[in-house]
Amino acid sequence: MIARGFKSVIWVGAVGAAAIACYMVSLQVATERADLTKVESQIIAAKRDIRALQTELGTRGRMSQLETWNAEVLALSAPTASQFLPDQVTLARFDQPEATLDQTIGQVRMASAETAPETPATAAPSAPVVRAAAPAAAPAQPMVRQASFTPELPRSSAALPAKPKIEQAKADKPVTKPGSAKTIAAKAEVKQAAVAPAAAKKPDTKTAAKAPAKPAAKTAAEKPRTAKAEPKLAAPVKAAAKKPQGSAGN
Amino acid sequence: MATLASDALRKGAAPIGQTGLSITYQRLMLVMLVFAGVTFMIVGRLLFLQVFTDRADGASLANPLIPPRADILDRNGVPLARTIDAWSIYVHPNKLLGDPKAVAERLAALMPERSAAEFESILRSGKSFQYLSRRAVPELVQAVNALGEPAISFAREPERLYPQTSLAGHILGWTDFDGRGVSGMEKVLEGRLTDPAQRGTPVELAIDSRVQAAMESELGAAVTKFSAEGATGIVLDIHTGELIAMASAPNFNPNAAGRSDANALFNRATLGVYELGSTFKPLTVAAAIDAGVIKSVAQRYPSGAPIAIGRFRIKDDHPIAGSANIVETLVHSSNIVTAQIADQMGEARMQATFKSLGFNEPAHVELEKGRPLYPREWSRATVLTSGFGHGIAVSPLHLASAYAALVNGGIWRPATLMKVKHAPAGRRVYSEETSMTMRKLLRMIVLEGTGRKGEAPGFRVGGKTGTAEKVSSSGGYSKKVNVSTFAAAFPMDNPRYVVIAMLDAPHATADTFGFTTAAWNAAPVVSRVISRTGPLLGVLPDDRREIDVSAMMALVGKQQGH
Repeated sequence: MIARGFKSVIWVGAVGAAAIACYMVSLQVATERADLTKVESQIIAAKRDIRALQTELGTRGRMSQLETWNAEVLALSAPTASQFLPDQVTLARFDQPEATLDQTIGQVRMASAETAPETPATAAPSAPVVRAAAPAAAPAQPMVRQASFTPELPRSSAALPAKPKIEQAKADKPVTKPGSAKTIAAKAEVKQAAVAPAAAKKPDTKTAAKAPAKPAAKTAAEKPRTAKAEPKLAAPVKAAAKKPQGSAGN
Repeated sequence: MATLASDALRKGAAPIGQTGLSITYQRLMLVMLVFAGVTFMIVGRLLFLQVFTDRADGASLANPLIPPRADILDRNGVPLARTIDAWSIYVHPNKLLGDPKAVAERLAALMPERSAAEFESILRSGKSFQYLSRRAVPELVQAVNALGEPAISFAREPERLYPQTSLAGHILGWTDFDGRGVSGMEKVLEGRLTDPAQRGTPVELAIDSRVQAAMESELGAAVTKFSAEGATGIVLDIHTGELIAMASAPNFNPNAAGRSDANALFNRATLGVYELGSTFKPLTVAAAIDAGVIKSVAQRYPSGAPIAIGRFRIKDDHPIAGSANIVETLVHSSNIVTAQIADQMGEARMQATFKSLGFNEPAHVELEKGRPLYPREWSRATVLTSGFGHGIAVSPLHLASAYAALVNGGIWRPATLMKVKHAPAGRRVYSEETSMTMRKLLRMIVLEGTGRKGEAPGFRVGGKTGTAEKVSSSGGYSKKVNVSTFAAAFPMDNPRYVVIAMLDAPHATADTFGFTTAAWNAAPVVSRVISRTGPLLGVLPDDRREIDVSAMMALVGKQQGH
């Protein structure tokens, strides 16, 4: 009875609730759409700003301005042909890995080997010559090492890497002694360089080369020539003189 | 509402028998139905609008990102011309509140381009609208706004901005205040730039702004150094005809084109026509090789004595004693020999060559161009002198296109300022073999001859100098006033670009030892431009590459000291 009396009220309520629900959904959609439009307009505003800023940046960094800066501050000039490398091989020419102790000793040894054949033509003190000489030295180095190293390998496998080298240098000496006087001079040089005390760091390489050469030198004429050919190798020799000290400290 | 209606129905249905009451009920019912109907209609319409209206339409109708006028970019996408929203300041003089004199004085302090008296007359005019400043910078707008005069208003208007200022000013041209192109590419591309369908996408020109900047700065430096009247420089892609750079000095700033003088607005590269002198000699020689007049570059001509033709005498400043072969002719730039070659070619073949190079018609480019001074009557003297570039005046752009044809394998193509995807077919002017020979000859001139100062190390430059005497205002040639040109191409082993520099009336300086010839002023400009821009254009300098000129080297006599 009561239910029947309220039936119409319930109907009205249900229909009203449904209508409101539908309206809420559509209202929600409308809100979302409005938000979307707002974001879109923000994007447009941002793009406009970007364009304006790009224009300003482009105007401030215009070519004539860059040129003025270059003239006043940077002073950059056009690159020359030597600053361009055509291929990887040319690039590899510039790669000079840090020489290990092994290599520096080897290099010093090589220097003496180079003076032996007597090539005064290589005295031109230009940078590429040094570079050209370095790779040329590389193949010669293992040859010498192989000769002296193989018998020692089984014995000194556990020893420090620095020690056998000095040993090796010493061991080389008797072997090469029967050879030319020049190589003896070089070996002596290596020895001195390797065992040199801290005071031996300073003296320039010319005297360093002469000093060990004097006792061994038998041909006076060749001595100054080796000294002359060597200024380029001054750096490696110095390095060699420094390095063993470091290793001695270890 | 439904309840009320049902009540009314129920009551109306009651058999009371009182007709007056039932009529009242019925009327009430009718009114209620009308109200309900109207309400439902409105609600229905609202719902319909809510559901079926697409609001996105309104936003996308006018996209504010599409500029009112399309941008102009260079070939790498660097903006050369853009439209921005600029401030304009205007006043409603009839609504002025403050004292006109005081306001005018403060305005004059902020905007010095007008005097206080002028501002006062504007403010007192009683008009409803008057611009005070257009294209005002934001700082000025702020300062004027701080005056607090309500009659002064501000608005944003689209304004054409050239971010690179004077760069490529002659190419771009400028627009008037209403945004219509007045000159340059702005005028040429007017339709394309304002077309609503296309203005969203920018226009790409063939210009490379870096190369253009280098050319302009080097030309500017040369003009200052040699106190020249003007100068022009062109970099042309020989395979497509695209103009990578085209500069004319003095130049102007298109942002304020109205404030530049007429001399600066004149584009010497396309509007100016000049007798370009010895730079024509390679064109004549190439035509003669093609025609079979020159059978070998070792062919010799007498070169010691001047040639008399009518009242003229064709002579050389430093004649080659005895005879000269073709290589020597070009290396030492002999007028005498070139005139003989032109004579052997004859009028018909010389004219045919010049016409196929387009020397008888305005240059092929989009901009305004000058008409060449092509001789109407061809006497023997005309034929002889035209062989070395006198008696015929063309624009520097003509010469650039001709040199492109000379070294690119013999195909002439029209020059263009638009970036092109496919090179136009063009027309054959020289045979491919002739073109190969000419590359070597041009390289020889730079290695051994007058073009030595045009060499850029590693770039294998080949080119020809040309120093023509300028026609003075009184008629007749002036020995002192020259037009110095250096026309070059690089790299000669595989040519890609033609570079031309021309100085108009340069003066001698101490380090040119008193010379005003092209070897001393125009050639160094080309050399520096090539050194600076070669790598940017994809030509790397390489000392180990060279075009093989050994055979020609053997033909050059070393007895000539200069």
